[in-house]
Amino acid sequence: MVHYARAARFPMKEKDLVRLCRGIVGKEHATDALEDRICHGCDATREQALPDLVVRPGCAEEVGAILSLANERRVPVYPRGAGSGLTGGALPLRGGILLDTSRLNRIISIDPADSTAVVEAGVVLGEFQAAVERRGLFYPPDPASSDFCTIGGNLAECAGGLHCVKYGVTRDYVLSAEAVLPCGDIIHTGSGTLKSVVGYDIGRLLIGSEGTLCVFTRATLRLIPLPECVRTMLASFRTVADGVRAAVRIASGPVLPRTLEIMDELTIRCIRAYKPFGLPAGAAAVLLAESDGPPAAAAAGIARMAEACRAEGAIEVETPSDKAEADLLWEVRRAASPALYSLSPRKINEDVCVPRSRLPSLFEGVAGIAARGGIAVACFGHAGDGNIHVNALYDAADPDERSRAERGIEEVFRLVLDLGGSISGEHGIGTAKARFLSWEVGGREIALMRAIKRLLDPNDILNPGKIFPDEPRISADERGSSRILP
Amino acid sequence: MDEVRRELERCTRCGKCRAVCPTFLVTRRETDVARGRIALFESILRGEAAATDRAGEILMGCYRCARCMDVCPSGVRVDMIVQAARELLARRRGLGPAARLVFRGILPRRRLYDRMIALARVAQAVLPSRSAQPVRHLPLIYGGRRSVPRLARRPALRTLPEIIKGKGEIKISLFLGCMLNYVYPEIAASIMRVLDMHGVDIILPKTQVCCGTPVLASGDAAAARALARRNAAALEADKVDAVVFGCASCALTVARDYPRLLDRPGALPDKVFDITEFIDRFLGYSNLPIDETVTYHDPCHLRWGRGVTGPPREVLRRSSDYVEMERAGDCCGLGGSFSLTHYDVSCALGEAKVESIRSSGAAVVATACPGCILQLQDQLARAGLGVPVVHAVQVYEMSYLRGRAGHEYVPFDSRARSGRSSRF
Ligand SMILES: Cc1cc2nc3c(=O)[nH]c(=O)nc-3n(C[C@H](O)[C@H](O)[C@H](O)COP(=O)(O)OP(=O)(O)OC[C@H]3O[C@@H](n4cnc5c(N)ncnc54)[C@H](O)[C@@H]3O)c2cc1C
Ligand code: SF4
Ligand code: SF4
Repeated sequence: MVHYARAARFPMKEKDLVRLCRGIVGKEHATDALEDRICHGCDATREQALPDLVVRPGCAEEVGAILSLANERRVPVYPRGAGSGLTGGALPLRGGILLDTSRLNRIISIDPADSTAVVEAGVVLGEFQAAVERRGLFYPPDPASSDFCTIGGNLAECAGGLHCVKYGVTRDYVLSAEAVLPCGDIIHTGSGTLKSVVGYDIGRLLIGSEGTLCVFTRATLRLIPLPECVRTMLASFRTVADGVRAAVRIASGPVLPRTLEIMDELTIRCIRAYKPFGLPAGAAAVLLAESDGPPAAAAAGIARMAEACRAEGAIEVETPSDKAEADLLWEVRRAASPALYSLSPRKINEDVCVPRSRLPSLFEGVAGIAARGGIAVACFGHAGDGNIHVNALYDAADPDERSRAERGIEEVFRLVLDLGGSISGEHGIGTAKARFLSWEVGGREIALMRAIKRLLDPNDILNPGKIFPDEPRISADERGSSRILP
Repeated sequence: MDEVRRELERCTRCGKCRAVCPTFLVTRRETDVARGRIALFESILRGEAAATDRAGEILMGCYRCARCMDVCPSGVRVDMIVQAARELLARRRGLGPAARLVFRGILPRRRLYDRMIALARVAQAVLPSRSAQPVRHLPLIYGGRRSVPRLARRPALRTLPEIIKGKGEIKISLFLGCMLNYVYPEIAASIMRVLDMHGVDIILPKTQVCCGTPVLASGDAAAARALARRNAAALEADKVDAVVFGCASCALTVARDYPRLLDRPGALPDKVFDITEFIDRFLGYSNLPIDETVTYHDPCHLRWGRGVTGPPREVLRRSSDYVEMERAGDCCGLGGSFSLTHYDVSCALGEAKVESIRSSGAAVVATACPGCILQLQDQLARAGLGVPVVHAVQVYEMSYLRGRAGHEYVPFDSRARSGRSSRF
């Protein structure tokens, strides 16, 4: 879907905004060229919107000056990291300033003695992980987009990933953050120490706020020692139910897996069609698990997990000790996403989360919904934390199929909430799920959230139109611009 | 165009190309990565944006190195999209008069082109050399913003024989391309000697012309088609088992773009062999490795464009004391076209490459594309690192000679640029 019908143009009286922004960040880092604005108007939802300006600040002070200018002029500002978000958080829906954090890309320090690191918000996660691992340290949050997403985007979405089952999510690793409020003030949350209970925990409020409360510019992150050894296991099951039961059994101990991923039958079929990989015939579910620690502990852990799988009726269990062979097993998991694309270029990808013990009911319920609605639904993801990617596949050329897929997903949300789960484990609400917010969050809680938003951003200039549905729009006259596009 | 639209539709905007695109990794701007380029081209097709100078800059800035295609989860054919975008821009904005003249008037005419290069060579001797980025594709020298590499006194196609009879077992035709012909004729000669040593039947069609890479890059599909037809006629005049290339860019263009340009699949593209692929596949290894440590740089067009990584390494491993450098597959930074992308991008990539070479500790760096050789020589010279840059085939030739009794081994450094053998 395209959010603009024609090329937007600034009315003359706003023209000086470019000049003012250039005055703050330097001539080459602010532009109103249509071509540049188009390039920056998308994220991984594949939606497209058009900002009026693209501004690339180089430090927190510049971010502050831009925000205070925008606040004065009532011009919306949209923080954007790598634009890999899956819920439309970075889309400049109402025109205004697209604030690209790519220049804030310095790793300021890595301190092995304190096991902390200080990074700027635009640092690419994968580059940071590589830098700390070179020093024998480990930063566990590991979304599948780690090669290109930014740490600022991770904070804003509270990104998760493969290692959450054992190591937690982004929020668990942020000791302190430097953030710029919509008025332009720079604040510092927390203290950077491992423990601190002085005053409200503002950091926790800002993390996961999807760029609606502040722009992160820097973070002090907690590191842990890099596990000495990682062992991998791949187990295949005849039915999804067997696989899910095995996952629940593994995750409930006695050894906490480092990763625990599941793939269902349709996912496996797509992967097979994409690349054979030699998965056993008749496999309707596959579990991929890892155990880490000193070599003996990792090996013992993986043996326990293999045992659990056999007890649940696994048809085949592989536990290679060779790293190259283990990498091959991971290729199966990595192929899941491209494989689904090659089967069906369009899909609605949701990341629901249920208490782990309810996983069997979730898989059963989703299968029923898919069968009743006549839709193809592929489920795979982080079984260890009950966080499953539910992919409803459809043909873009067939509007009926699309609406069936949409209805199916709504049913899945209802099911998830009935099971005591959450409609988004890690991708956030953004624009894509705004209309479902009230399905999960109560009226009072939403009112409180809105009050917090108003307190920090009374003019609704920071990432407007995200999280909350039908947030009253600032009218065109009020903002002195006619640039709100259909 | 339908095919292109389908490719455009398949890009999910996931952003993964940001992890590898060499131009993006230097500028960190969304305008300099596959996703941004695709989004812009889509907007142009929808009529929301026009074929402006800025659009030209953004779409010409792509190296068409195909690196992004290697990681793209949806397998988007970015090279096809960028090519279509350039052709559209060329149609809407027109080419400059100089480009038209060169692409349509000079390139298809071998002798005229020879004369033009000879003139450029005279100019080179008279005028002081400028410090600007060297051109990867010789036909772009009229662009004026780049320095021209030192041109050889006599083009290879003038000095090398047209036919060498071999043992009658395997017959190939050899395609040189502008860089081997005018800048590095000694590499062309080395390829011929290596093939000759093994008794391969060689045809070097003298009617071959520029492969058309720079012409395509500028979006002039009609002129590229004319060149493709001439080359197809030249290379297919005799029935051959393979067409051998010493230039990764020429090979990629023939393999990837000729089917469309000639409007027929198969035959010629299927016979494309890089010289290292050919050695590895057909010539056996009766050589004796030389004692020098040699490392290898992957030309983008060979590794990411055609997926060839094994054969050049195998050839070098069997011919020398081979060491792998870190990030061997990273672009050397010599973009193909007019380089509206800036010289600093090129230098930043070049400097990273120089670091990889330095830390590999190798005495010699080999690669498989004359464009990369030019860039590596330029960047190593700027960094003051005295590591000679050669084509992998030259290393193989030396090791082969070493394997024969009675041949003295001459180390690289003391081999003059005019290492053209008197055999021919
Ligand atoms: C292939 C693929 C796989 C993925 N896998 C996972 C996964 O396994 N787990 C997971 O959790 N997510 C995953 N994601 C989603 C996405 O990568 C994460 O949400 C990531 O954290 C977004 O980072 P970004 O830099 O791309 O942010 P963007 O997409 O640019 O922005 C996301 C949101 O954060 C805001 N924002 C960005 N930077 C800042 C800042 N400095 N300050 C304030 N707000 C900011 C934006 O306004 C927007 O609302 C995946 C995405 C893709 C495309
Ligand atoms: S990696 Fe492929 S699908 Fe993803 S944004 Fe780049 S070109 Fe598009
Ligand atoms: S072909 Fe190369 S330069 Fe062009 S977008 Fe892909 S990775 Fe970037």
